[in-house]
Amino acid sequence: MLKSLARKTDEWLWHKGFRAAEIRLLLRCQILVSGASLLAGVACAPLWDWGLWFGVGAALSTFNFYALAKFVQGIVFMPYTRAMAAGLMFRFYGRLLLTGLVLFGLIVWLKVSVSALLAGLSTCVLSIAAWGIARGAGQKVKEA
Amino acid sequence: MRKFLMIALNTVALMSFAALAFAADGKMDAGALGLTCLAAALGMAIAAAGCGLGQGMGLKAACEGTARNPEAGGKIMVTLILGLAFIESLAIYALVVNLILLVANPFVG
Repeated sequence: MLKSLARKTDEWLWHKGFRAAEIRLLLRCQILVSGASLLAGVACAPLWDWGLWFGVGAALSTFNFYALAKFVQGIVFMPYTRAMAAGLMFRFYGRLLLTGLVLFGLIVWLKVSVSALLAGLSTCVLSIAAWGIARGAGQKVKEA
Repeated sequence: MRKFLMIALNTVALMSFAALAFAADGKMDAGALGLTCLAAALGMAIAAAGCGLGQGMGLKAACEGTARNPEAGGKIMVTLILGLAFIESLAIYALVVNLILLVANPFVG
């Protein structure tokens, strides 16, 4: 089931224009991790809300990574027009504004656990670091 | 000049809103409030400046690399995306810490 879910996510990302295999792999892992942690967090929310805010942080981090990857791919692959550049900039700053507002709402109004939120936001960095370490280890094995 | 004026006005606005928020509670003396606001403003400014410099340098190197060797563009783009994600997460951490300092300070109240 996990394999089929991963394949479907991969196909969806391909249709969304993510052509680089490494980015697709990382985004797929991020989407699956944040989805699983959100589901687990919602299930455990009545007993322990830490998991829920972890999931929300992970989802926010995934959204940011997704939008950033799409932005860079748009710059590299799309033919330049003024409308394209304006759209990309609008989406880029809109995403930053949305992230700031969501964080403000979560920390100030909902008073969520900041440790959970930061742990969730760190999932993206951790998955990239883990991917880099795994890739480095793979290359060393190949070279040997 | 206009840019500097905008930055200065934004900083003043940020600090005055935070002062209003704390003054409503009345649980922090003026000196500590001023220092907290200054720390938050300086912290966000330093974080934004550092992240901006880092992203700019990364983007510059990626553009140069792609221009010199277009065939390596795909690999450079992957590295660029990962680098930008790393740097941007630092700015988000700084934003969270500054929000905590300004409006959800655990040492106030």
